[in-house]
Amino acid sequence: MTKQSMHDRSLDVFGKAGFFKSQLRIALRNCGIIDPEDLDDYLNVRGFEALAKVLSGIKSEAVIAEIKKSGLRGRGGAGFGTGLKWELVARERSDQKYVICNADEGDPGAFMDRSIIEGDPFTVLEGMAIAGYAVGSDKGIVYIRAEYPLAIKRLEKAIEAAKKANLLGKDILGSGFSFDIEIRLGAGAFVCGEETALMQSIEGHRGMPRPRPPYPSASGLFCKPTLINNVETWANVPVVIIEGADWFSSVGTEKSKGTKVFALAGKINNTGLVEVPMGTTLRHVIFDIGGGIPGGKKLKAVQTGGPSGGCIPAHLIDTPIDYESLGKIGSIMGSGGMIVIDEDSCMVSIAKFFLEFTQSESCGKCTPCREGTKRMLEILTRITEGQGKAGDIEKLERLGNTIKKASLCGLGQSAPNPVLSTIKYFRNEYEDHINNKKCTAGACEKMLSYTINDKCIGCGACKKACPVNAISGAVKQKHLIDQKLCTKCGECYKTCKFSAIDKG
Amino acid sequence: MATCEIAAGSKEVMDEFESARKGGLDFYLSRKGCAGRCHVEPTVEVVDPEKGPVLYTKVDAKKAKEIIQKHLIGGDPLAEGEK
Repeated sequence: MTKQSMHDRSLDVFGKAGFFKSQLRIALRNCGIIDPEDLDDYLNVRGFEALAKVLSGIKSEAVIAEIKKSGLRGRGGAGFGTGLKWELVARERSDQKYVICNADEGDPGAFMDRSIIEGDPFTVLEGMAIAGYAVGSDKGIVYIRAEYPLAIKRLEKAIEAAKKANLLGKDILGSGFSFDIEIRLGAGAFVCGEETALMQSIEGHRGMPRPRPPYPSASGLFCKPTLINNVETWANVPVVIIEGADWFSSVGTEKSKGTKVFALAGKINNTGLVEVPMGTTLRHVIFDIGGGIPGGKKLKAVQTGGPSGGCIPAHLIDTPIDYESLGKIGSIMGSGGMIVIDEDSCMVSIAKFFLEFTQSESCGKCTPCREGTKRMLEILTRITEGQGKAGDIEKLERLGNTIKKASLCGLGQSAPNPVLSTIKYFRNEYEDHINNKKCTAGACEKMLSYTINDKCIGCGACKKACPVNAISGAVKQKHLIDQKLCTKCGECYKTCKFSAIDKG
Repeated sequence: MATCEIAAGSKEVMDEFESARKGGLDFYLSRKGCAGRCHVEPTVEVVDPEKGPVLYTKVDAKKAKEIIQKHLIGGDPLAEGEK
């Protein structure tokens, strides 16, 4: 079998159409190919081969060494070395250790973890069992959000089927190694994706982060050594074992190995899940795989990493996608959300949208995050409503940098990113909003006004379309919009066939 | 069929194929997970062991009926199917 066999199979099934041609599917290798509720289907695509290989006589140290050598890094966002994490847990001496799968995928617009669990749940179980063997744990827990009912159902079925086939449970395949997996549901708090908050939640406490150290590898769930990895990371593990660390590390860049799954969304022709080798440029993902921007519009920016990430302006889209390069330009890899923004979008509004999310999801434990994000949101809100004051940009920068430095967990440390990156690259838009009370993109409703120009022939179409009767005028005469009544819904603008309505 | 595909209408399509099978038509029917092509969901793939696979995109109940009639029963893939 060739080294790329796992990916070639996807190509065989899906054809060599542009969307798949330049992808390399490792984590998604079985998604869309196997029946996720059928263990036989998974076994047919070399499922559980990696676990069997490990259990048939590879020492746990050798498994960890292989993962380390592969260069696999955590796909949850921070990119910590997976092999190193395993080694730290393996080194601890304890009567009980835990292996956790973090499936609390909360970023708006990201759905790769759900897709992996819904399309290929067994691979996650297999990855966890391999880790259990490597670090000396017999207990795995999948922490998944309750908003994913189908994923939970498939995972339950998969665990049951694997247990029946003795691929999980006591004395797996007669090797003497036992590993059991159970599911814990999260109630949908974004902060519970943070590892310490996640473990608090499993323990039955309120989901709030705690300071580190001690790190989970030393004292995690129920104060026992705990290994916690993201769904996508687990999905990569069986491939590293089967195809070998050398092959895995041949994909990607010097410091970021393997592939990354992105949820491509926003103003793009081919929305979807794409998996590309690390080091692929944003341009390639957006224009070659994603098929470009609909309606011939121009690309303005790309937002990566969800609410914790930053906005990358169009002139930097030749940046290769890897942990370091994205970090250098003020964004992050994150869990892999990729939102494409076209020229019709206002960057201030976008920053406000993401901050609204993190602000409402802030758990409130530490002051910088709780108070700081609230104050930042207040300033952003007044800027988008045309009430911005001189000095607001500087205040946002100062607040943002303080929150980044002083917050307890990743949520606060990354919450200002969308604001800081848009200020860095689109400062002129902020200045326009504040000094000229103008939103160039025409997206901030409160700053908009609709007026009728001399092209109006008095057809009355806008008058009929206006839901608040703000338009008056006799037939065949120029109409007028009453600015006091106008709610800026834009219906007249859409209705007019004579370009007689100006927006601005 | 992942959550997003069900939302895009794949359940109605699946129901069509299931009822065709219940009606006596003999073929192997299987659900898959998400392939990542949100922009063309729901998708149906028909595999003829001799002629190879044909992929249909943006399938709805009406198109599913057509696929059953023309491709599964008639043996002729629809013109729009991608090989």
